[in-house]
Amino acid sequence: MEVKNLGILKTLFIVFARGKQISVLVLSISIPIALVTSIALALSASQQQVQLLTDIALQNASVVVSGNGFEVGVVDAVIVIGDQRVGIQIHVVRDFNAYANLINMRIVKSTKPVDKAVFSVGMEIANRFKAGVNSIVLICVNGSCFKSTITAIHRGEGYADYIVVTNSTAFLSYSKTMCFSKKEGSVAVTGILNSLNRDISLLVQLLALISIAAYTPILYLSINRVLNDYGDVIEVFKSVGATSRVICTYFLLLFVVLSMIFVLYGIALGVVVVHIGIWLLRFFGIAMLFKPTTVSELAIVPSALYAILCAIVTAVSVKRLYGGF
Amino acid sequence: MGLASLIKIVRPRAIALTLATLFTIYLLLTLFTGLVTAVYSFYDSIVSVSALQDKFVFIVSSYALSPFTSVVSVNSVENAVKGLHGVEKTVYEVITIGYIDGRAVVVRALNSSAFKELTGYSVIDGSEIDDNCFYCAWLGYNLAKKLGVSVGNRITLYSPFTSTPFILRVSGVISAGKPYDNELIIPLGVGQAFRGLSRSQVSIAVVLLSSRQSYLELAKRFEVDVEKVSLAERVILSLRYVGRRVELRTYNDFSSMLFSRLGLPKETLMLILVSISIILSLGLYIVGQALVTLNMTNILIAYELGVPVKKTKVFLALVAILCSLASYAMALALAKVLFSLVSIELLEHEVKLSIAEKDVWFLPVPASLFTLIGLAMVRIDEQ
Repeated sequence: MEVKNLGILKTLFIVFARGKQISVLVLSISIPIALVTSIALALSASQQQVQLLTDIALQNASVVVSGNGFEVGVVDAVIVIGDQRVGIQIHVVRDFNAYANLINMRIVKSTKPVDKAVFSVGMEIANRFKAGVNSIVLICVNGSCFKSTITAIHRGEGYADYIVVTNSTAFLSYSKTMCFSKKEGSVAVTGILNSLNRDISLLVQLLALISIAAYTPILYLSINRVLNDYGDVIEVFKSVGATSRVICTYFLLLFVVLSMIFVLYGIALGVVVVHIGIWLLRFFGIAMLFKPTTVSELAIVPSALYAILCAIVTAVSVKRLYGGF
Repeated sequence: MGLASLIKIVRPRAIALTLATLFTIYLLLTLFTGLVTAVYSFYDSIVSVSALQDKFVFIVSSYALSPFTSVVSVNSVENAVKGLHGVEKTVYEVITIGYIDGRAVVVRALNSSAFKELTGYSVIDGSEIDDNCFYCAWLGYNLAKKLGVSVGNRITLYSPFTSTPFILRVSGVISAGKPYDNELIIPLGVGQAFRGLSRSQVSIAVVLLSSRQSYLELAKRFEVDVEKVSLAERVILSLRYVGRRVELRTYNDFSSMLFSRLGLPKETLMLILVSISIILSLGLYIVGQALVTLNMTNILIAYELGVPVKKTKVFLALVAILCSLASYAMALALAKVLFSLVSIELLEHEVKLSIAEKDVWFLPVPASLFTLIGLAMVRIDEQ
């Protein structure tokens, strides 16, 4: 009986091969898979680029707000000089020099020496008020105002030019303590790249799934087209006693195997197309930094879904055309 | 044998299947085009000023694709507009990208009066934008909702251009329309520090002009052919804005420069769309064949009754073209409805898919062609 059943499978395959229906399945299975694979490979190249940029960002250190580390009391205040008022942030620290070192801040002017009571104003604030060292400013926090003398003017990277750094305890009661620590890599670069990569990946995955979904009617038509050629063979099988259930089961088996083969062919086709594209770009003098090397799950998951879809479409079509199951 | 006997050949089921398949492929193609176009024009939507419909707006920037890395010298723009009649105002903006609470967000910095004039924003909660508050930040309504922060909260903002964090207090939540509702607004000075620029540098300059003549004159000063401003010209011109010399080599390396900046000219975009439409339309060969095979019984009966094969095929080709055009019209109509309902998210911005009909005229061409080839390849006479 087993030999007989294998005979059915063999006959079904021979009919398929002689029916010149390979191109039909290439068009309906391999082409969408090739497209999805190309998209996945392009994304893989972009991810390699993201990885490189992240690695480069790792070479620089950045200061982050964390659970522990260098304690900084942050106060939001208003600084008044003459008739000018500006909202500024005061960073209250215990060790001024250690903080200056942490945030790459340097003193450009100071009352010498930088003693225990430092009140250092950022360069941009000082320029705005045309204030120098020894200038007296009024600092107001939550309705309370304090007179302070500028003992230093600092310059630094980023926000440092817009803040006041002091080790005076006068502002401590108004401050909210935050911890700063140094971390390898740029938090912003890594975070932004990962965030962008996540957005783009979602978009591309959506596109891949839409492509597969759009090809479903074509898949249905092509499998019907192939199955239509089996009318005479089914009659012969039935006349020699094969049941519809057995015939349908072997149909399903054959098409599952065939769909897997054509899916693999589609993946290979996608890889070849992308590499031809890269070669063409290089031919025209455009060097691509990254070559997609691995077929990611973005290609494998839709391909597996499509193979399952092939099996379902085959089962539905066989049942409709020849009965069974 | 008249038209009536030919019409009888085509089974409604075959028509329905052909229409459904073509419709699905067209819908996919329009979605794909909408996506690519939306992503392509995303950065332009960030820098454009849509509120001032009655003004002529000239935007000076130095980017191929992303405004986040643009650097424009304030002095060079001021020199360019100096003495030009009809210049109402020049607004300088810093537009960059920041990282906050696990999200990449667009950070915009400009003077409050200019922002008011450009957008006519209103404060939903908190205070008005204050140029003199260096620890304050104002959040667009949508961004505030996404981040789950309200007035008085502290936010820690990280810049890719500096190594220290910006600890800012949310001073207001504003409504200013798109794209500002998805952005974080800070005073210009803090924005320059955040972007790592000096006080004499900004990301873009928006020049508001009172007449078209002034606009054309300014364009001439920047040596821009307003009738045809390609991306390449924008890139090359931008190099002039920042004061560097443009050498012949710059023009020669045009292609590699565009690609290295991830910029794509419109022509390349069209090429990509045409290629994708051809690849996706390949499968329609099967639809063409199905149009014959699904009607084969009727075709053979008509053949027995004396209808020539050629005449049947010409009629079916006509049916295929009509189906193709009808499906395309339906897909385009549905896509437009979908585009108004559905949006994608990029950098916390809601990006609506968009499609320009002049960009998608070619979509039915490869689709109809492959359907017709499929139809032509079926050998009816062998049956």
